[in-house]
Amino acid sequence: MSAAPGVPLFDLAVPEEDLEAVDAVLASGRLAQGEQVAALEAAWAEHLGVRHAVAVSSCTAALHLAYAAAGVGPGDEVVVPAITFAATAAAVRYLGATPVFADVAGERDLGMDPEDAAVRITDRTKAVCVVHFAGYPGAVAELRALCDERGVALLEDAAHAPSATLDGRRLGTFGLAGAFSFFSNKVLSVGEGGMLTTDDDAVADAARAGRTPEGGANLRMDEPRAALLRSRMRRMEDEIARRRVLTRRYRELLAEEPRVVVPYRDEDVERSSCYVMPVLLRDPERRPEVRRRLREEHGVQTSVLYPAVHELSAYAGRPGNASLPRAEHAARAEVTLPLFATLDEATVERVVAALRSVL
Amino acid sequence: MSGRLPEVERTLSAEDRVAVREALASGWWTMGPRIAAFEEALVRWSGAPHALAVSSGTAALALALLARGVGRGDRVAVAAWGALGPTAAARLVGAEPVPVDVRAADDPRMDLDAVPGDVVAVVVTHALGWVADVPGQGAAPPGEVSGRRGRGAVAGVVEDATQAVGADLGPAGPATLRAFSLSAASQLPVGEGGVVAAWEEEAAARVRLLRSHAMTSGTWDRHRGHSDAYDVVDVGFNFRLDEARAALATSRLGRLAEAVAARRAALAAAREALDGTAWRVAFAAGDDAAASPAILPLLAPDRAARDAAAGRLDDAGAVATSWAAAADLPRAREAADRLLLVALPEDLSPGAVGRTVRVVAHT
Repeated sequence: MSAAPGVPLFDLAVPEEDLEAVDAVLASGRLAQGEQVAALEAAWAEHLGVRHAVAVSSCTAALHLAYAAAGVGPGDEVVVPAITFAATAAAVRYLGATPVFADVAGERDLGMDPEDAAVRITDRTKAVCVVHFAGYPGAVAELRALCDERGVALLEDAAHAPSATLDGRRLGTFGLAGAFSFFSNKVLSVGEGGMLTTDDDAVADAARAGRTPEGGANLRMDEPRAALLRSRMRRMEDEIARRRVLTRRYRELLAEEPRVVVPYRDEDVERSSCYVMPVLLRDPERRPEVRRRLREEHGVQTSVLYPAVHELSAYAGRPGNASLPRAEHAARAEVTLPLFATLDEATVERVVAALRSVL
Repeated sequence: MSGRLPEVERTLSAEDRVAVREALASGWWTMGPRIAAFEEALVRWSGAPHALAVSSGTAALALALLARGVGRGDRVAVAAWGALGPTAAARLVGAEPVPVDVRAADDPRMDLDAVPGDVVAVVVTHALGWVADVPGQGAAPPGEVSGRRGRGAVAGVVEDATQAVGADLGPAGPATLRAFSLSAASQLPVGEGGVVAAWEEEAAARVRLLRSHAMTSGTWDRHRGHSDAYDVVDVGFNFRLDEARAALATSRLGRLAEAVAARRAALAAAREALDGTAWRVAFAAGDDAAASPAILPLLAPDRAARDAAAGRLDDAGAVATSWAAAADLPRAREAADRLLLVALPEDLSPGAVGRTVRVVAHT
């Protein structure tokens, strides 16, 4: 085992201003959704350039409300990418509908392939949900055109991508609604939390009603978490800038490494939120050993984003599940390297050296 | 809002605030040692062998129903008044809530004799903090209550204790499932939160799995990242509670008994103050000793008196609410017409209670 300190996958810095923001709310004794949540929603809506932001308990909750607002119900279908966290598909099931999986574009782009999505749309499809993987924009222009042509809603799972942009416009604003995550390992984190965004008044009203027990579930966020988010949101742009610097350094160091594929392009970094640093091993069979040796010999933690959802037990073997070769390959080859705002470049260099030594 | 307890400002102690600060400063915000510590404290507190911290009382009820085997299309009995949480929970799991009348306007607990025979589960609400009879556990058995697992009379029961945190709920059976709330209106408030107390290991395991997307990788250990190869074995939810709220709940749990005692004292003061008026406190006084009053449930002589009193309280700046009936059933409707639910802050002195009830009874 390396004598140097380990490198975690992600880390949280919690400055005094965050702690004070929460403490001020606790001192007030007002815990339930109120002025802090309202202020957070206003700030988020302004940041994205949308009319409405609805704070909720998680991104899963935001997806649930987004699908409901798109009219998804029993017997319907929603096209989702196979490379995503299972929640993108689970929320479809909450409404009694079926997630239909689409392949991803390829090793260099782990977002949904619009041509494959087009094939997956049937007369039962109510929506297509694009996932902005790792903070890089999915093919929203093509998917928006496809959805408009086929009369289905476009939704965005932007859990990885707060503040990412495409053509100067924030991700999460290209469809009927966007869903964001504030889980503890995300770009902007609070522990458990999420946000639904939309320009559509009816969607916003439905989401606000739907997050209360009267509306069918308790998906609300509370005041202390909203205060914490407001405090951390002030640093988000600076932290994303830092993530981009670190990502560029990773890309520079790995550019000539033949044993991995680094997805996306250098010019994509500037508009990405750089949530994670994914690489694909050219020899996926080596992945368990690579990950184990990184952990045991170098103290470097890694993850897999993601197992293909259509291969998970809860979704596998269902009628209509297609074989999705690019997603299945990515699911076997992908390794997520450590990336967080307080990581330093020396550690990035150390991680890459360690990776090289175990490939 | 109808069905929800009024939220009042809560006094947090210095220890509460330190607990939250330390949890946040640790940088470990989800599924860590503070959740584990809270769940251990809950086991000691509840007497259940297993306790799971979750995101809300509604989530706790939904997870309990799922642990009971309730699925899409199943019929689930819920009270026709005061059962907003169970109704939402049933719908969340794809089941159909079947409203059952309550015993009386002055005893809005479910009338177990009115539970239809074709329901798969019954959610018994310990209404407003007063302990309800639970089928198969010392109560006179209703008609047949069929359970999908075929375990006899106790199959298919979930106890809704979301309004009754701190009540003496009585002995549990081998399959007992109790849902609690940690909402801002709860006797143990953290903002949003809930608890499932389970007596069966299998039920506890099901709740633990389904609160976190049915992932089999165990806890989200920040020092290991995700486990090497997780599977998702079912359609689960994100119904997790985070570390900071668990720390706050643990801190407040230590003062719960004291808070409940204070509310019982206020309740006694209210009974006395209403003596000789046309109003009274709901439930029999003999039931108060086991109760953890969520509010002061005041029974008006009629709807007009209730509405007038609500107006006077509003003018006086007091927080009160009333709840609609979920179905056109006679006793639920009468409860909806005549019950006024007055908020019960922890620091409400018996003197202040006396003043409030005099405004209500217009004396």
